[in-house]
Amino acid sequence: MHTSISKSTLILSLAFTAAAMYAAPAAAATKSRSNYQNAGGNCHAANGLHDIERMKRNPLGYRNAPTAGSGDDEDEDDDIRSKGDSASNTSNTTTGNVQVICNFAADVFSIGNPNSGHIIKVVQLFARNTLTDSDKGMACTITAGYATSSTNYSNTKSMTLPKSGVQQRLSWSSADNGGRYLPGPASVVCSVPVGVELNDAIIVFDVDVGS
Amino acid sequence: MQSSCSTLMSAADPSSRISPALSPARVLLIVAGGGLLLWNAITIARLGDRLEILEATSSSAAERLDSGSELTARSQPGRARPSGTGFAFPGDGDPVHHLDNLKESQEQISPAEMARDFDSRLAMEPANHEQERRAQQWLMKAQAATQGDDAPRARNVATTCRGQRCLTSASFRNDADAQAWATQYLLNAGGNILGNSRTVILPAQNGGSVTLQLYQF
Repeated sequence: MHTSISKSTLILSLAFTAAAMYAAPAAAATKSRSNYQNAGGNCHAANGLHDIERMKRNPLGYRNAPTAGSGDDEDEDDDIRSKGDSASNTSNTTTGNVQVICNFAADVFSIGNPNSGHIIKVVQLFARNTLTDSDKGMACTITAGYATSSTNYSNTKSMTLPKSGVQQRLSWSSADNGGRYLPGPASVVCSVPVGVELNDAIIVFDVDVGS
Repeated sequence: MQSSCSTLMSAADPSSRISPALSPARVLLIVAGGGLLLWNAITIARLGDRLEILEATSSSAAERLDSGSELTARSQPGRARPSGTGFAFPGDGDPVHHLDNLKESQEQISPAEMARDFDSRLAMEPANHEQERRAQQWLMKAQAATQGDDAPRARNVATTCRGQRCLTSASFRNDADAQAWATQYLLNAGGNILGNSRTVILPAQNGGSVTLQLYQF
């Protein structure tokens, strides 16, 4: 037994099927992305001589090393916090703070807020005190933007690094810039006290990952 | 034209019936077949679009490497882009032109204009004597610490505060000295009272010294 179907019903069915099978372009989806790096390879002293004479690199960090009377602490174990013998190293220290610049790689395609000029969501820098004699204070300034830009952004923050050696962090985000993301690219300059080691650092930005 | 009109009219005519041989199963088969053809056409069109983007990306990258236009474009952000390359939206793979466009979209003003802008913001700031006194004391310490560091020597250092804003001005031999001193000064100030800052360096007039205008807010 055959059931008759009107042409209009058939056409409507075809149209409905076509519409259902056509995937309309969905709204763009945004996800956060990050670059996560250690300071040992990513940071440099502003003064090249300080880079050679006063700072020490290791895979996990970049440290303003106390200089002993011998002038050589190559044999020092970077992973062991300075105690005992190294306390005398501290007393022989003739160095002061070193100005260090760290770079944060961003993505020019990242999604801006409120516009494409403001692309950096968060920057965080971790550090620790490798000496046990006293807590250390460290100030860092983020400069976000490029030379000659009218929208450059700078913000200075300080933190205390306890003699316990526990890592602390400095963080910059849109909360520091009236809700707007920071302009890119970004660098952070720190005045690193003797015994303080810059460790890991992260930058976060949003990217369009399609529909 | 006449025939298509008559087809439409007959399709809209509820009294018109198709052949009884067109069973629901056949209708379903026809609908599924039609949908499959449509889906294939859409997929092919999308693949074509992606291929065009890939071709455009590889050719523009090759052009930049050949001509060295990348450096030229960066040094002249206001110039017109080479023909055949449009604005690069996220995802279409042309970061150099995207950066050019980004820079062109941003206002670039001279140091003098920037200084005037921040001067006017400072002047409009509501006064707060207690805040100003605390900020000035703190910045005096930062200044003394900076002079004690191995920072370049500053001359004619002066600090003015109004409400939540301060301006520190000083003279230096050159731009590099001014920048180095400002960086060290900000680190010594530590952001404890005024965290945000803008460094403006006014060029030397008649071979004289450059002027640093460091705004904190």
